[in-house]
Amino acid sequence: MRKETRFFLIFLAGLFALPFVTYLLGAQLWAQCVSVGSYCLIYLVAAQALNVQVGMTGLLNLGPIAFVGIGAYTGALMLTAKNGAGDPALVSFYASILPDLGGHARWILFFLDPNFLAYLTVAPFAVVMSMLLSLLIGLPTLKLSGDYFAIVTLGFAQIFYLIVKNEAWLTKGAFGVKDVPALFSFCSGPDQIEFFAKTAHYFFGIAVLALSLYVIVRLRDSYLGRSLLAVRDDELAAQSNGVNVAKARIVSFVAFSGLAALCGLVLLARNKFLSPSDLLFWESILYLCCVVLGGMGSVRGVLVGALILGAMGEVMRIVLPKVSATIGFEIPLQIRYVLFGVILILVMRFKPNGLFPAADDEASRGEEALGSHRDAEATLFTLAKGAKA
Amino acid sequence: MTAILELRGLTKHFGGVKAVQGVDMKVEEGSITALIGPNGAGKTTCFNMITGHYIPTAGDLIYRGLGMEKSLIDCGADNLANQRIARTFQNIRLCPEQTVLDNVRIGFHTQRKSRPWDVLLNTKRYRAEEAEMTASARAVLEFVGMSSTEENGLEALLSDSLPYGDKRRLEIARALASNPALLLLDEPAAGMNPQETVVLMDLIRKTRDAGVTVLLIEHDMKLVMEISDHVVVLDHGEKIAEGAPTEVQKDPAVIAAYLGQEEGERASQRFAALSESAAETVAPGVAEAGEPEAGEPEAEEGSS
Repeated sequence: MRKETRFFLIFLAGLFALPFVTYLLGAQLWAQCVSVGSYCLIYLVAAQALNVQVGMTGLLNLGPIAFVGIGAYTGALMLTAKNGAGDPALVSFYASILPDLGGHARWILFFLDPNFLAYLTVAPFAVVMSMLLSLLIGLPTLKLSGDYFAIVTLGFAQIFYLIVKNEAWLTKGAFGVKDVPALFSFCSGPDQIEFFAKTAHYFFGIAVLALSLYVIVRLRDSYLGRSLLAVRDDELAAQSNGVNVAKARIVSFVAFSGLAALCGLVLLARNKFLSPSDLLFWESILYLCCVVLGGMGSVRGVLVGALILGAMGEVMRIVLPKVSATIGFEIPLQIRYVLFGVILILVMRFKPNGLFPAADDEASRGEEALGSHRDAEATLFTLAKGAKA
Repeated sequence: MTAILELRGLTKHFGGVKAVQGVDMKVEEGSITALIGPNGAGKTTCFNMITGHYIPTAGDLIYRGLGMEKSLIDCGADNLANQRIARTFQNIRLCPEQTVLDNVRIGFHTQRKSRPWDVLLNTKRYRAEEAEMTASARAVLEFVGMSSTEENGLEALLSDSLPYGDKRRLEIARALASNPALLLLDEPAAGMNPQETVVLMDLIRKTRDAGVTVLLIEHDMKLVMEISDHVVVLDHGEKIAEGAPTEVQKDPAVIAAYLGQEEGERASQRFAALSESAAETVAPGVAEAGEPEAGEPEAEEGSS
């Protein structure tokens, strides 16, 4: 097994084990860990999607939160749409056609849960919606050189935020979308199963993260990834090797805006509530910080970067008041934001290419691959055959 | 012999600047053709028109690489690899943070048949193609004399860490990977030391012998005169001479263009008027510079 694959498996296994281990250690710690962990997972997935755009294709997307938001809002509005009886239409529909499983069968056969099926139904809509809108802004701008794209995405995220905040007939405005159905029917109500009620969205996040890691790593190691990296490194050289530069950029931007939308569903499943304040510009910058901190273009690095930045804010929100209480001096909670700045400055000073520079990763993967495919026949390179004959 | 590429009255104006003015030339199939001229003569502009980065103001480019006659105008730069035309660049353009092997594998981009879903599902077709591509990339590296062994692990190095001459060869390897019929080399020997240049000359000859037509821009006259079958000289955007290297070498127009003979004469006259001794010291200098293999091209290299 490759070193990198092992790293991913250990990382995912660690995330998976977290609620089980902490459950044994105490109820409060467990609840806090799941809360922080599921918050982290949003960053982990969003930063991975952004990393393909920024780190691998060289597209400086300054508004990734808009695409997360498009996914989340599409999901929230579809899930909360009411039927005649005033119940969420999609969930009621699935509940009416599926047998009502009792007891533990409900979480064992989780894929037959009406709520979960409703989420699965809205997922393609969320993804396609995000992809369509990214195509809309990508088509005219991606033929231009890099900087314009950054300005356009920044503007788009702000416009999207304002639309969501002001068009209350569609988005419920600043009050937000309330009462989003839970990810599973056993997550709420009188007959909930406590452990899974609190952790289902967390495991859903892990599944989305695993899926995105699989897709990104497959893509990166293929001709698709190589053409994206060629576009990032040298547009002209990529072009003269037959890579359609505009197409490569659009595909990268649109496809991974789709992944960002999926991340929006993770956010929705966690909060069961969505308001414009989830879509602040600050979030976009934080995603970008995760990518920069981990190492642009390095899948492994961005995982670590997102874990650090995603967890730090939440952990400090829990830990700081306790520290304040012990030392008898009030530390303002806002110190978290100062610490983000300090971390980034330290990274820029001591590790300018991030914690795991992509080039190092590339070199070590190259070394591991040495000698692979030795037995294959060189059929694509016709000159050598001609010269030998 | 047929001409694989034919420039017919090719013209490019940038506003009032006539960068290339009505150039006619033929690149014979299976030959090494050199395009030379002083700095600013329009060589790279010609190249960029052939590769679709510039659209000519007037004239036509006829290409016969795929067994039929085709105009390259409006072909588009990223479609050129499909036309079996590959190029290298004056200033090396590799992916610095990718391995040597991956840099070559980019060259196979137009020959792959896998689709994105093959990649995601890791299908047999995709795996076979990757293996084939890797093996072929190794064959290309071997062809350019950069084969990777167990000891040096060359293919796993980042291309940024290679010495200059190897970067040049790697760029040629990437171009060859696209299975070109016509290879365009933009100053391949620029910045190379004499030993590296000799190796490069062998490689260019070997490429020609393998059936690839080579068109190159070069300032290194030693390289041009030794390996070219045909030389075309441009000056101020116009063709001033063409023919075999030995003919071109003796052409008075070429000597004048390269070394500014009139300029040199005028200068020596001016010096002569000032003092006899001054004229004596300048004159031998002019005579020395009159030889085609003069030091001037090297001076240009230094500046580029």
